[in-house]
Amino acid sequence: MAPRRYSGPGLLALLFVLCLLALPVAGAQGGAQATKPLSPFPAIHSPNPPDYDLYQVKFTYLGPQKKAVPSLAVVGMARVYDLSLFVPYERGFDYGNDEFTGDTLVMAGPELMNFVNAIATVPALTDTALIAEPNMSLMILRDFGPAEVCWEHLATRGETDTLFQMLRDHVLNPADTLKVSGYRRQMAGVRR
Amino acid sequence: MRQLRSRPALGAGLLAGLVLAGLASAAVLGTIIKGTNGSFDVTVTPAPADSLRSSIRISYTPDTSKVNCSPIYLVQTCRDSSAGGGVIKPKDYKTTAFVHMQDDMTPGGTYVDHLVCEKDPFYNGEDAGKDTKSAGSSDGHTATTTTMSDAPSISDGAFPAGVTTIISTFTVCAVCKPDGKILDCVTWTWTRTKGSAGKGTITGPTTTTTATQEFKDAVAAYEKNHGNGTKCPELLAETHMGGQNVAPGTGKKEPYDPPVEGQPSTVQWDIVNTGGQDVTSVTWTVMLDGTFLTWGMVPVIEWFDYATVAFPLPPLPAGPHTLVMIVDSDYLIPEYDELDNVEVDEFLVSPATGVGPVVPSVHLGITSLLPNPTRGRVAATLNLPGAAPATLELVDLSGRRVREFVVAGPGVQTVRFELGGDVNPGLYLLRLRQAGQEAVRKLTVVR
Repeated sequence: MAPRRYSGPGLLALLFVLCLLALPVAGAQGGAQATKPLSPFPAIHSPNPPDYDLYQVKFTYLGPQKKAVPSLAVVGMARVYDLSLFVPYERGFDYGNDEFTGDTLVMAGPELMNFVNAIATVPALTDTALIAEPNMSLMILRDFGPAEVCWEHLATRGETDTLFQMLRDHVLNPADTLKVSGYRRQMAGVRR
Repeated sequence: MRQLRSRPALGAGLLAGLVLAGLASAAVLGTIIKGTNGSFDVTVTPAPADSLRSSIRISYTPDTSKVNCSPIYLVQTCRDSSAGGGVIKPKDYKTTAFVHMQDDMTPGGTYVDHLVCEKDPFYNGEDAGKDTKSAGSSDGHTATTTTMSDAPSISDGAFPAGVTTIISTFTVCAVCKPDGKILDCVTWTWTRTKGSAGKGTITGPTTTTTATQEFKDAVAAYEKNHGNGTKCPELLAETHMGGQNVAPGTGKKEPYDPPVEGQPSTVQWDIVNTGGQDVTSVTWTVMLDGTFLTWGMVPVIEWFDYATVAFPLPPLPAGPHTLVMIVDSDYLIPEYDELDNVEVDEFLVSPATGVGPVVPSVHLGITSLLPNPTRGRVAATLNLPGAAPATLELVDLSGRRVREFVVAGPGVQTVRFELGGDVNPGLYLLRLRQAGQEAVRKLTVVR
């Protein structure tokens, strides 16, 4: 049976109008430019464990794929994960896998702080530099206090593996540990 | 069900991009494709910027007058080829992102598109953390839509050697899970040229297609390899010692370095995690000739990794002996916690001096054990070198005898028996003894 398309002249005209209306938004967003500036790593590195109860963390796979690789969200105990808060900070890469958030892990403040402290021990993991073919985006966001801050590291595959090992080492719930291992496998690649 | 890049601002950006590109010359927006048992709704979204991916969203709504099924899922298969038509295999890519699908590929190059360790072939099915669950249904009156999205990507550096253009052909079929009936299918392609600025172009689908034999074969291959999630993860024990030990999957025998009569020796054993999840608290227990010998615990064996354990053997008399290693772990996602592995190795201890190993003229053995796993009925084929009566015992892992038979030799004998409700599901050892020789095979009972 022949397919029926929503592509008649009337619909095209409607789409055209809608697109024109959307142009100012698209120009601001563009799918490629962040509308809010990222902060350096020290801005999200608090020494107070309770602060981390309000943090949000997002791991987004950016590497080669056929099937979509779900993103992993981690939140402090007092947070409800809100993907939309990250969007203004995204920089010209494809974060579409975020639409497939598979799990949202909840970590206690000290757990999450230990993870961030572990990142701090590896200077190469704390930068916000753009790289050509990132394997993964790690974003950490804090939207309380004097100002909202968000930090992103674009990780190579090796760094992806390291970051997931760090996360796994600081997640206390054994079931979550296994989940983290699963995401590590998906995002850092299969290995023998 | 959300689709890739469905946020309002980006969606607006996509539409704007379409306008600037000449009003959807390369896009299909909201295409309805009617099939035999329902209809697909397909949206192809070109990449709004060079660094981003094109995406496709496919929904399927069953026709309530023709379908009565729940759940209905989408299955997607993939076949990659170069511009010249040659098949590109998952392992051909200079990335390991796809190698887990290599063993699931049909001879024609088609495989179910899945992530590592998925337990079902459904694109958006029941794998938590890997799928966005999206089940369709029809009860004859009301229909529910199932949806999947995809956004392929490959970098220039990951192109296979000698390939400049990759053409991935995806077939998506709606499948009624309870009976496996394929309701309708569509086919779309993704083309990516090395060095191009974009992340590839998606074309089609425009019409329904039939489920090809390639599609069916790919799903069958997946089910064979991954049915019930039994492939992931799995623990295998592999000895470094046994001349009779056959390396899994290769048929190749390990180098044989047998212990010598009356001399202590050491055995090394690899416990292999063949799955994609770490395993924790791995305990191993070794029995020598049916008697407990030693045990140990490995805290963690990481994904696709192995641990080597070693233990001493006491001085043994010359002749055949049997080591049984039972590997267990208490970890795991429940759906995968199904395999507590038992490995059996028969080995010969050499005489102290002068002559070679004592080799029976005809080796005692259980040459086949079918079916295994079994739901109850078992046929065991035995090789009996002598005329002396032989005993065939089925014992559980605690050593309790569940069944016992007396078999007359010599020659090849087949013993058939049935395990009733008094035998619980689990792993058992079938042990054959004759004239001081012993052979053991493991038997899995399922219900």
